[in-house]
Amino acid sequence: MKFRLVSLLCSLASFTAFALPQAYVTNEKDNTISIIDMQSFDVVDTIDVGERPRGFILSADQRHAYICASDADRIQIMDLSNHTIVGDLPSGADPETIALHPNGTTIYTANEDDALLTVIDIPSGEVISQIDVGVEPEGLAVSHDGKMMVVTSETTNMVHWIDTQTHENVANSLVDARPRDAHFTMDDKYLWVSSEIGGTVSIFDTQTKQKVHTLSFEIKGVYRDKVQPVGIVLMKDSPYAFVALGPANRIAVINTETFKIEDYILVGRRVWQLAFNEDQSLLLSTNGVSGDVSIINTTSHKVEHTVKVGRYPWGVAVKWK
Amino acid sequence: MTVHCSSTLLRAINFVCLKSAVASLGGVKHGLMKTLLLSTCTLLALSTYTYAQEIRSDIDTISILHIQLLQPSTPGTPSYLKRPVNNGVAGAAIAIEDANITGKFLSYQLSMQSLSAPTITEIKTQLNEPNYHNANAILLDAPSSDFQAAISVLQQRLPEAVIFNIANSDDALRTLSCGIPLVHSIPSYQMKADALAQWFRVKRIKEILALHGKHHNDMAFLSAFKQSAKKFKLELVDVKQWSDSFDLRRAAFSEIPQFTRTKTRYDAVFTADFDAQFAYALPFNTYYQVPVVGDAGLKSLGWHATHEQWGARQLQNRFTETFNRPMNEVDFAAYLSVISAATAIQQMTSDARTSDTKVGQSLALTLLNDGFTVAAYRGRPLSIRPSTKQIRQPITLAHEDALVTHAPLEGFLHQNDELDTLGNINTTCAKHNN
Repeated sequence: MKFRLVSLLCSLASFTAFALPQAYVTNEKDNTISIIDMQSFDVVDTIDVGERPRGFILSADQRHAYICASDADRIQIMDLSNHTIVGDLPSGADPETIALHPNGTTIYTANEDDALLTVIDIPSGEVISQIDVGVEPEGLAVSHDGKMMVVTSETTNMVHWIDTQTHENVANSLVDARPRDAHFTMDDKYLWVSSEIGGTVSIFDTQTKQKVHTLSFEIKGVYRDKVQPVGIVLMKDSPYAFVALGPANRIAVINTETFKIEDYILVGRRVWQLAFNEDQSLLLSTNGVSGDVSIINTTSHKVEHTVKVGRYPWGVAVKWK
Repeated sequence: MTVHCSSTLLRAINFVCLKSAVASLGGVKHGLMKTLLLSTCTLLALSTYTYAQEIRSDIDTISILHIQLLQPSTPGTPSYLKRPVNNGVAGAAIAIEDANITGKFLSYQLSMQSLSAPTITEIKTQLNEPNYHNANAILLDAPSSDFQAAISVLQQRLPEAVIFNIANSDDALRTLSCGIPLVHSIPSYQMKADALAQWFRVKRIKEILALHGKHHNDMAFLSAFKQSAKKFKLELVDVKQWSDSFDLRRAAFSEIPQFTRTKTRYDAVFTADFDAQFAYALPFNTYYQVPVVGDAGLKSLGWHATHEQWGARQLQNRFTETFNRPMNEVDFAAYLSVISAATAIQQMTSDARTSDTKVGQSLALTLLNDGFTVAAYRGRPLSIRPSTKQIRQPITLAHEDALVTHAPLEGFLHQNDELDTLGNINTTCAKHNN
C-alpha cells in the first residue's frame, strides 16, 4: 500500500512537472532556469544553462526557447519537451536580450559590449547582418507587422529604428537616460520605451518617430531616484500597460488610453522583467534582489503568490502550448 | 638617451605613446620594447600628444584638453601603489569613444588632446600653441598648491572653456568655483569623510584614532573627517602624524603597533595618506585590532573596480580590456566630465555647437542649468551643486576585493536630495587672483 502511494505520488509529481502552463525564469547569478508550475505555483524543476542567463523568449509554437547566456557569448536553444540544449546561435559577444521576428525565423540580439545589433537566421544559424548602434544596446522590439524593429542603447540614450527588410538604421530618437525595455502597441502605432535613470516611460509615434507622451511616476514614501522603470508589458485586449519600477519595488498600472497611472503594485525587491500568462489574467514579475517571482492578478492588482527562485531572476516567459 | 626621429617616426611614436601612455603599456608584452617605449614616451610626456582619431570636418567638433601638472613622486611609495601614468586620461579616452558613438547619430564629435608638464610656467608656454586655442573643455589634474594658478592661466588663455577638476578632492578648491565654470567631477574629501562617518554610525562605531601623513591632501582629508565627526557625533580619541622614519615594508609588524598605541582604546582607525606612505601597512598591524578606513582598508571613493551594479560592469569591462588595469576614481571623474559635456552638447542647438568662441559658454550654461542631470552607472541621475559646482554622486565604500556599499547609506535623509547628506552644499567664495 505504502509502495503504491509513493508510486502514485511519483507519477503525480512527474505529471505535474510537465503539466502546462509553466513559467520559465532565468537566474542570472545561478546559471540556471527555474520552472514554475502555473497551477500549484511551485518550482518544479531547475535546469543548468550557460553562464549568466538573462533574456529568455519562446518560439512561436512554444516548442523551443532561446536563452541569452551572456557570459558564455551565445544564445542557447532549448527543446522544451525534454529541457535539453539542442543548439547555439552565433550571437556575438555578451548577448543580453533577444527578440523574434513574427516570421519565426529571424532573431535579433543586442551585443552590449560591442555596440552592435546582430540579426540571425535561425534555420541556417547564420548571422545575416550586424548593425552599428549606440553604446550598450539593450531593449529590443519588433513591430507586430514585422516591418520595423527598434533597439535602445543604454549609454547613448537613444532608440534606433531599423527597417527589417534592409537592415538599415532609418532613424534615431533621443530618449531619457538609460533606456531599457521597448514595446510596440498591438496596432503598431506607438512604441513604449522605459528609461531607468531618467525615471520615465516615453511613448513614440511610430510614423513620425517623435515622442508624444512622457510618463513619470510619483510614489508616496519612495524617493524619486529609486523609481527606475525597466520591464514593460502591454495587454492585448484591455487598455492597460504594466511597468516594473526596479528598486521602487513596485509595478505601475497605466491606462493606455488616458495615460493615467491608476495603481502601484508592491512586489519583491528590484522588480525587473514582466510576462503574462495566456489569457493575461496573471502577470509575473522577476524580483532580482529578493530572488523571487510575484504572481499578480491583472484585474484586482493583488499579488496572489510569491515564488522563491534562484539568485537574481532576470528573464521570464510563460509556456502554455 | 638620444632619440633621433624623423617626423613620421615621431608621429608613429606619438601614436604608440598615446595608445600605450594611454594603455599603460599593458598590451606591449616585450620587456625591452617596453623599456624603450617608456623612455621615449617619458620624453614626449613632457610635451603633448594628440589623440589619433578620425576627425570629420563635416560635423560639429567639441575639443577637450587634458592638462596634467606632473607631481614629483614621493620616495617610499611602494611601486604597486603608484598612480598609473595614464591616470584619468584613460577614463576620458573611453568616454570620448562612447560619446562619439552617440555623436555619430547626432552629428557631433569630441576630440581630445593632452598636455603635461611639471610647472605652471611650462603649461603656460605650451598653451601658446595655436592648436590648443579651440579647447572648449579642460580636464584639469593639478595639486592644490598650483590649482589656483592653473585656473588663472586657463582663465586668461581659454576664457570660454569649462574646466573640470578631475583629480583633486581638496574642499578648499570648491570655493574657487564662484563665478567661473569650474566643475568638480571628483568627489570632495568632505563627501568621502561623510560617507565613512555614515558607515561608522550604521556600525555603531564611535571612538576613532585618526592618522595622517605630511601631504597637503592628508591635512585636507583629516580636516574634512573632523567636520564629519562633529556632524555625525563621532569621537576622535587621538590624532597622530606619521613620522616617516623607517621602511615599513620590513618593519611594519613591529613598528605599527607602537605608532597606533593610545591610552584610550579606539574602535576604528581613520587614515589620510594621499601618497601611500604608511596607510597600506595599517590593516592587521594596529595596536588594537580594529577596522582601518580612509586611504587604506575600507576606502571611500568616487569609483572602484569592484562596483558592477547599474551597468557599471560594462564600463569596467571596456576599460580593463583597453588599458589592462582596473579603472580608478580619477579615471571615472575624467569619464564623468566628458560624458557630462557630451550630454550637455546633446541639449545644445547646432548653432550653439558651431559658434566658434561661444561653445564653451553654452556648454557651461547647459551644464549648470537647474534641471541638468547625467547618467553615469551610479544608479541615479547625477546633478551639479549650484554653489560649489561639485557633481553630486554616491560614494563607493570598498576594500580591495569587494564592494561594501554605496553612500548615502539608508536612513540618512536630506530635505532635497539624499546625495546632499554627503559633503558641503554651500561654500564661501574665494577671491580669484586673475
